[in-house]
Amino acid sequence: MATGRKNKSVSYARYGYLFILPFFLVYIVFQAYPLINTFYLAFQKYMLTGAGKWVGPKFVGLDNFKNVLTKGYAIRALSNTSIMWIINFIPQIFLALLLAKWFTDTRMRIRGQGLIKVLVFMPNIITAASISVLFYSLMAYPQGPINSLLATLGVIDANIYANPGTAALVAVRFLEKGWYTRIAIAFINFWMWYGNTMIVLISGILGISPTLYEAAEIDGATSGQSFRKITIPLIKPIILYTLVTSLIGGMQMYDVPALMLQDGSPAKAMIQTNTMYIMELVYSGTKDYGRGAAVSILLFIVTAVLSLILFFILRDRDENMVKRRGQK
Amino acid sequence: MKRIASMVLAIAMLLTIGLAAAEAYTTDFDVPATGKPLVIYSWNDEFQGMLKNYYIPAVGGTVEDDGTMILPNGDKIEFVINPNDGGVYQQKLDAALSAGEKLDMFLMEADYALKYVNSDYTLPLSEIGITEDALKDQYPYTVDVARDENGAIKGSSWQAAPGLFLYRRSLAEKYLGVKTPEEMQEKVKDWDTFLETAREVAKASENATKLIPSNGDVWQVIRTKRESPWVNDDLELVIDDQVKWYFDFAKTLRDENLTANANPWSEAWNAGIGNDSIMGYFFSTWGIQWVMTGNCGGAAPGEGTYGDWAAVDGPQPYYWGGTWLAAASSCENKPLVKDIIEYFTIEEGSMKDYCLKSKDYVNNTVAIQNIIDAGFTFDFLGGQDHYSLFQAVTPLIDTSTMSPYDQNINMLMDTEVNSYVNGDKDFDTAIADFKNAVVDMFPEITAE
Repeated sequence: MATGRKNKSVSYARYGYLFILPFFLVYIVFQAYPLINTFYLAFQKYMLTGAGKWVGPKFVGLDNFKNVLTKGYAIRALSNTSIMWIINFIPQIFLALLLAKWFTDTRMRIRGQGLIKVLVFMPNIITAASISVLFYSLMAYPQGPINSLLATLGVIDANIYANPGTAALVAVRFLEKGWYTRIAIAFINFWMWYGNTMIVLISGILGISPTLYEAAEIDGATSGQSFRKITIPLIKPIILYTLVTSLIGGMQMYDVPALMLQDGSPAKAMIQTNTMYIMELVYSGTKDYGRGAAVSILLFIVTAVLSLILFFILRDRDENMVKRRGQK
Repeated sequence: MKRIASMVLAIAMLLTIGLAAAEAYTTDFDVPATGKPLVIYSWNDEFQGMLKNYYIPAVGGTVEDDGTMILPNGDKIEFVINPNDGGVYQQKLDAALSAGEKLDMFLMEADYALKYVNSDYTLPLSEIGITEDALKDQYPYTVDVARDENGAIKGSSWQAAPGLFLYRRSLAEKYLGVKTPEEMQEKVKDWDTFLETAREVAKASENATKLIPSNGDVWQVIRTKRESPWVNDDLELVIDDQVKWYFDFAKTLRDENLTANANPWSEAWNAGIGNDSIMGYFFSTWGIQWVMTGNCGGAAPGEGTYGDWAAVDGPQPYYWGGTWLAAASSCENKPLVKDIIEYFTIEEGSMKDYCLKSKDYVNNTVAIQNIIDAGFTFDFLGGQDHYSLFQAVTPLIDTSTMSPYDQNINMLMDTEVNSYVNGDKDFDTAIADFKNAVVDMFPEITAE
């Protein structure tokens, strides 16, 4: 009997493995395999030509990387992506910080905070696709709402069919102008994400001990001073977090610019992002898996390097100093 | 009141059924059941509607309320529809073909038919039991397009796609003082005259009406006049003189504000058929029955612009589009695919029936001749017999400029044309950028 009892003491650790098995299966199929395969493809010449013929797979070393770095639109796409991300992120972090400060400031006591937070967060719930389509329609030519508004205000000629030469200004082809489209795309991203960033920052600020603010107040610090000297330094890790997540998301920007790109629009040269370019390489014309994979890896490296740089710039130096001292 | 209304409706419905039954075309159906659905890939619901409204009733099948098509032997027909816009259809089709998904039959458009004809993804018609001799009544150019490098025929088209210039009779009379199609043809007989007429219309209507929707519509026509396809046999990009001509023509149209700025297939472009902003369109056969009648805002003379249109030859003969039916190499039901292809593209009886009811221009010289001889008129075009015009243009169709790359390269050119006419780039820069874009999208192609 005693031995029987011993056998019955089951090791539950085994079940643990069983429970996490589905995750690993899904991870291997949908994450690990595509990741490894992308690295494999990046070193192959492998494509379905426009005339419907398969070429490869054949190992070509670093040719694909040389190709995308010297020819084609990978660098252009990278700069487009960065520019649109920067014009979205700078106002986003400032507005989010400002709102976070107002909502956490004990001296201001803003009323209806819950409602305002919900409203600010709202754009994040709507899908990016719907908002892009909305802006696409707003900016339409010649009779889109923005052009109609400009006509009503008398900025442009009311007759949308007027000759360009006869009136001072005529309806604008917003979707064919790179900068208008860029700014619209950056604005959509900004508008969708500042609420989210604000919520993250608020939770960061609420984690700061109120005694610090009380002490500062007693010492006669103004609201702005305590924000600059207490809040900002202490939520640096949170700012780093939002910066890095936004950067990673921003570098993969796809849906908004893709939907804002009209067929045949010259704005393409200024709004095509890396992910759009990868899509074009792999799905339009000649299906070039090798170069598509090479641009994907390029994007991966750029994102990783930028994240590391940010991490080192914004890391908490004081904390490291304390740690080092402790080790001594 | 309600009862009367419902009775009227019921009687009307019975009458329609009665009328339809009286005219219905039927044919034998002896395809054995396979127990699996037939899967067809397409980019719009045109062919789906053709099966539903013509083929299924003719063979005695049923269409359920939810649109499922069931053949007399119990097999179903399923459609996978992806839009052509932005090349989505080709993307999805390529993915399905290379992944070996269930796919028996697919549709190919003129812009990229050659890509599939020359690939292993299409079966020669001989393999499904259709001989070249069976296609003898088809217009020869439609057969040649579907012929691969080894001479095998890989597709069959139900329509020929000769193009004409369609214009609004009332607007032409108002702004140009033109009363008959013959007079109108004089106004658009070549491109110089066409441009003059465009200026005249814009001036007379004070820019309320334009002769054509956009410069893109001109490209559909002028591209068939090139001497070489976009890509020659040595895989070099060829930029024909016509391309330069087109850039300049487009620039003139823009600078002088001579189009309605409604790009092909845009909302304004479709709407222009039913309002007075656009006087004329370049359309081939399918465009009249598929696009124009649907957007004219009416279904009988006097309603919308129905009946106010007329067709003329226009500045040059051309073709636009055309759809070929192909059996996929993964086809699991060859007898059924054969039966469908025969029904729409080979048998004179069924094609004549479809032609008369749909006003499509079928790919059967005998059926068309019979229809014209019987005194064909079309009330949409104010009682004109436009089939005779089509019949005259079809032998002039030259598909030598067709290439498998057309859809994508045309799209890339569009971007540069727009840059050029917007004044952002000069011609040489636009052409240089165009070459780069083509080589980037098709690495196998070289551009000097």
